[in-house]
Amino acid sequence: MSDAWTDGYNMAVLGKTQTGKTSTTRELHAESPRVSIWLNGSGKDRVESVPGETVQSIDGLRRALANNSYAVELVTSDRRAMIVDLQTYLWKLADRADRDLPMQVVVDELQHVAPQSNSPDLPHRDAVRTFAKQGVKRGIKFVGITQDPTAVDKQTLRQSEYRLIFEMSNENRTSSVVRRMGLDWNAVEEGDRYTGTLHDDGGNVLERNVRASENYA
Amino acid sequence: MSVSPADVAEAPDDSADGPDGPDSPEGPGASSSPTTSTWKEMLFSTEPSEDLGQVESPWNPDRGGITRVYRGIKKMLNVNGIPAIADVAIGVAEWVTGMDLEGDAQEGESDDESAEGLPEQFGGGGGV
Repeated sequence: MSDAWTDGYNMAVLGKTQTGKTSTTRELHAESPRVSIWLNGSGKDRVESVPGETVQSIDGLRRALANNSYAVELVTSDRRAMIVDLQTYLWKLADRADRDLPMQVVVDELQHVAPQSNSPDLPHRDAVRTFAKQGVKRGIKFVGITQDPTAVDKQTLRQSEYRLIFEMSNENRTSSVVRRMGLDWNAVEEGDRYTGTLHDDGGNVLERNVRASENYA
Repeated sequence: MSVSPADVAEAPDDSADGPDGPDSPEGPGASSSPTTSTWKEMLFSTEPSEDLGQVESPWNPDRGGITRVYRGIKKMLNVNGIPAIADVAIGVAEWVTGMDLEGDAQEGESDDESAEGLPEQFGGGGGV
């Protein structure tokens, strides 16, 4: 794995539905050397086949980590409440580890947890902002997946060092949020179907044809 | 990496024998009652149920005003179904009422029939 997948800098995974975003991120979640926690919805909102130990609360997460689990699926019906608790817990964990435990938090459909809003009082959005802005210092990498970057909190998106871009709707491609990323759309369009193009925050292409392995697809 | 998660995660209070499952309380070795969040999720679960948009028109005279009441409650609560705790409470009330009316079966039955014009979704059946 290149540094982008293993280092502590945040990653945004963007693209239309059924383009390979979630499969690729599932592989990242399973194969990363970091302790990876996937915050998943429950019921019909649950992303299927997320690898790792499944828990339903922070207490369960604590037990999983005490058992040395490196990939954990945290399932909840209220991701907005849980992200706040998760941020609080991981901050304590990072301090206890003296910031020497590499961790990773994965959130699919990020726009539902960190929506773009002018409201001052959105604890779930603020928790994600905290991950995005201060997680790196604590060894916590934040990986956010979305089909609609225009609906995601701008401050959060701006903190992504890496942008993994899959096929995107024209509406999103031409939005100001995405245009400011300065992505190489030629590289994206030249890519094979169900593959993504990895950029840094300067719009430089780092990897082409990023694709999940068969067993994660 | 120099530190493992087991080094820094607090030891569990009980000896958990296995991972949590998505449809089960947390671990066989967990405390005897579900956590507060699990209880809350259970009591206020509204699944499975029909979508708000599929509730029959309140103007249907055969269903009367109770359908409108049901629809209004769902709008107020912003849910697509009646919470499980309400199903339980209403079902118990209906069950108890049915038992009390055994001694006056003839009149009671006709009264029950009009009272039990509740839609199935309102817990008339007592299912959870």
